[in-house]
Amino acid sequence: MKNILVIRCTNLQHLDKVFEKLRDELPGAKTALLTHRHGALAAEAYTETVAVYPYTENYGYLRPMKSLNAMNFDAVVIPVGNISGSGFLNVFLFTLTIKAASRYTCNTALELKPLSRAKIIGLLLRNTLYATVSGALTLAAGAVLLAGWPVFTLLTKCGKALRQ
Amino acid sequence: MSDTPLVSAVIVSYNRREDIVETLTMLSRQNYKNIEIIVVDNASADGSPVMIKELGLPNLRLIQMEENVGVKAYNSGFEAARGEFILILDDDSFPASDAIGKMVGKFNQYPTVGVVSFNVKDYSTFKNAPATTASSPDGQPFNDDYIMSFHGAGAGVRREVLEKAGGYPEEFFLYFNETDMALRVWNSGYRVESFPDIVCYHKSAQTNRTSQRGPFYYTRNIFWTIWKNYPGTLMWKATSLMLFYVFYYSLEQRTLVYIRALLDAVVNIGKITRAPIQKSIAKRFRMHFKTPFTMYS
Repeated sequence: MKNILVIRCTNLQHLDKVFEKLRDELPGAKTALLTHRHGALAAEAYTETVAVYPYTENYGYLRPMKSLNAMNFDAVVIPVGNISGSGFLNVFLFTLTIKAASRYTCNTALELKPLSRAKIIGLLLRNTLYATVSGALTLAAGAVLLAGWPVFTLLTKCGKALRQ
Repeated sequence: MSDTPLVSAVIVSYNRREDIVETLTMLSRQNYKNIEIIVVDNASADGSPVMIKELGLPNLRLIQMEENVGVKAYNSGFEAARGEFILILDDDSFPASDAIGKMVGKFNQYPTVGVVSFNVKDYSTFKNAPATTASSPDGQPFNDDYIMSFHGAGAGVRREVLEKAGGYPEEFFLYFNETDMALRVWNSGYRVESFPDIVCYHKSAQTNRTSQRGPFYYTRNIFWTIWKNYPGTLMWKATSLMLFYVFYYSLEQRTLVYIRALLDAVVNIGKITRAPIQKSIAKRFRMHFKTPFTMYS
């Protein structure tokens, strides 16, 4: 792999380790780093090629980046802030908008795990089911919270009075 | 105003005696010399206070808590601090040798910056190579499209900001306290800005993700941050999003920790005081709602 895109979606401490890992495993590979705007200056310390995501929201399939579409990568690396990669499906889906021969996650144990298109689609289908159930539960819990809010407000006022 | 005003480094220590000793040693090697160090020990059981005293640093004060009070210990340190600027560190983080001088420079250069957030790098980068420092946004306008919090392992705060906005929320105990404080700092008319050329090093063990402590406190404290600070409609929008995440990631990760955190937030709601911030600030603030759900599993 010569041409690698790293997507910054964890903290800089993890990114330090990910880049160290890539330098060790793939010496000579050319890396580019995609980051949100607030991380652009800090990203310059990692690579000369920094791409800035043009949205303030999280990476997403419905928020592709046109300038990246014109490029081809040998691999996209997605640092994940845990072992399994849970919580990063939006980034996995975003990588489907990028022309890349392969995709890898790099977890907190610094394991590079391949991530196929089929796996991403499978996760999407499974999590769509979870999202449907969660949506229903959110409506129910939200209604309870809304109904109980006057009581909560009273509790916070009582708590404040007690602390004073 | 003095060119080299007093800077108070406030550190909370808890059962990491080797780390706190290294932090204090590195602080004593700072290029900037007008520093006082305040260590608040959260009732460590590993002999940390003894080792700290044995260092014999002349500019160090040790405050010993009777029990582990979490982030409340920082507030004790802030109250004891005499400096014009306060440097917040973890017991396993320390600034690069030029960092405090640069921090003071930024405060002098930008009077509206209330909190200077450091570039918190992994400790391995300190051991393996000299710091590769990026540039800072000197002379450029700050980004106002969206605004952010700071990293509690390395940040400078003006004393006047602490007096106006208040310190860490003591009821949080652990985690997300920086975000709650950052919202109040912005609401007080000051900025929170990151400067990539001001580096500190942090030793967090990121591979240990089996503990439920982080996800629990993070999740509960995000709810509390929203309920304390967000005005009307935004509060309900953010609450709905968090509720969705709680259920969604409970299913995905087969855990009850998020639901326990939600219940704790509701049951103990009397511990927080609601004081909504300006809507324009809440709308622009980039809150990391998903963080607790990426810590576990």
